[in-house]
Amino acid sequence: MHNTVLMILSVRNSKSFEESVNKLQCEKIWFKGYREHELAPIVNDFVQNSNFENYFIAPDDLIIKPHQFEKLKSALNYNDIVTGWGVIRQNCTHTTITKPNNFLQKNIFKLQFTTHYFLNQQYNFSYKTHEINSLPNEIETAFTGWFYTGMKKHIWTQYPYECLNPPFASSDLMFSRRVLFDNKYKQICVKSANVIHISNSNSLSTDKSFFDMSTCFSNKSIIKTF
Amino acid sequence: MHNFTIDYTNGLKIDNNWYDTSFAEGKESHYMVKTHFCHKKIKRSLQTHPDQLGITATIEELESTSNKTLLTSNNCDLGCWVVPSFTKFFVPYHIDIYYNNELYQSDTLDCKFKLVNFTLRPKDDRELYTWMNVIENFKKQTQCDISIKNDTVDSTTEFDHIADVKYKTDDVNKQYYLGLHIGRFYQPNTNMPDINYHPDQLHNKNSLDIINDILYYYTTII
Repeated sequence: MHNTVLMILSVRNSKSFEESVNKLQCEKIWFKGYREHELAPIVNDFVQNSNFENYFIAPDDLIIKPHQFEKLKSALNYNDIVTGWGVIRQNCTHTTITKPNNFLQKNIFKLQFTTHYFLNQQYNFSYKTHEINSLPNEIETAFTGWFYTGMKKHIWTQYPYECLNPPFASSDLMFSRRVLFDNKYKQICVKSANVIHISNSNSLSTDKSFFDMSTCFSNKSIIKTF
Repeated sequence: MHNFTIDYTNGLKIDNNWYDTSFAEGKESHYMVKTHFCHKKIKRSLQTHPDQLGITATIEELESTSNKTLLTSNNCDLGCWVVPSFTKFFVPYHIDIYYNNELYQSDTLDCKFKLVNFTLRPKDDRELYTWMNVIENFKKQTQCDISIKNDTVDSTTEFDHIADVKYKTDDVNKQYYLGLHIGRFYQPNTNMPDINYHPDQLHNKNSLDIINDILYYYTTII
């Protein structure tokens, strides 16, 4: 059995995603059909009652290649929190790599933040795609976005999975906000682990072949490879 | 403040999907879109580097210049969308959106680190291989990720070094940045090639010509 586990937040049936995840050298646990809020006790119970060394988390609209995942695993040997990165949406030039200074002033870390801010071009403190090539391979980021974010068990237990009050959820924002506020650990983005984010917000709400809200939460299950 | 979306998933569509009534008070009731195509000239030179193992040669970029040419200019009412061009092949667009005679928003099509989808309708497997080779080259040039909609590619792992995401040919999702169709497309009920897909027509075109017309007409051919 591997000492690394990937926790997958899954609400779609994507063959490409399943194939890419199956190639990764780690154990997997699929939380299928749960809303982000519903997962809080389930994910935290799993972390508390399991004994893996490394815990990664990702939703099922992110595709990573095996060699990129290996780079994240190896970066976790000398970093507390590591993450891949990608574009916020395909129709957006901003990436998830967010400059960590003055984070509390940033809109995304305000509790009333909604994705509407992205539409209004206010997400202007992250690196844009054309700026990435000039960055070093490891970059401190204020936000991970659950882009294959990994850490040791003791960090997960200090920062358990939490969401904003409904109707918002943003468990990824909540995690990064608390880590930044405490300033005990750094969130390190590995540049060579660029992840494909299969999401275009222009058509996400109408694209039922990709994400059908009426059916995706109807069958809940937890599937493990271990 | 108004919000505009620029959608490249099937040609080009610009939508004022949200407008601010109070912001629009006393201002114009329409916006204007100027669509350009960017052309970049790169001067390259063959350089030799004498070293202990002999002479190695590399091609180095000496200088590059870019410019843009106006394609269309369109006025559109606030709250409405506009399709400035029906072109479905790859155009290196630069879009300027003006509101109340001021430049309000700009966008340049840039595939770097984005997902580009190809819907492939080849006549046979040999043509599919040809197209996949060209797509592999396009992927390297633009540093983009590739999704492919094609039943054959979807059913094999043979092209997994090129296709990062795979779908069946008729999958309708649009979860990508740029969408391109490669095939032979005709005007409805005629044998006339659809010039929105085939800028250089189809006469005497082989498989390579067809995909080159789609990908490189605006960047290399003209």
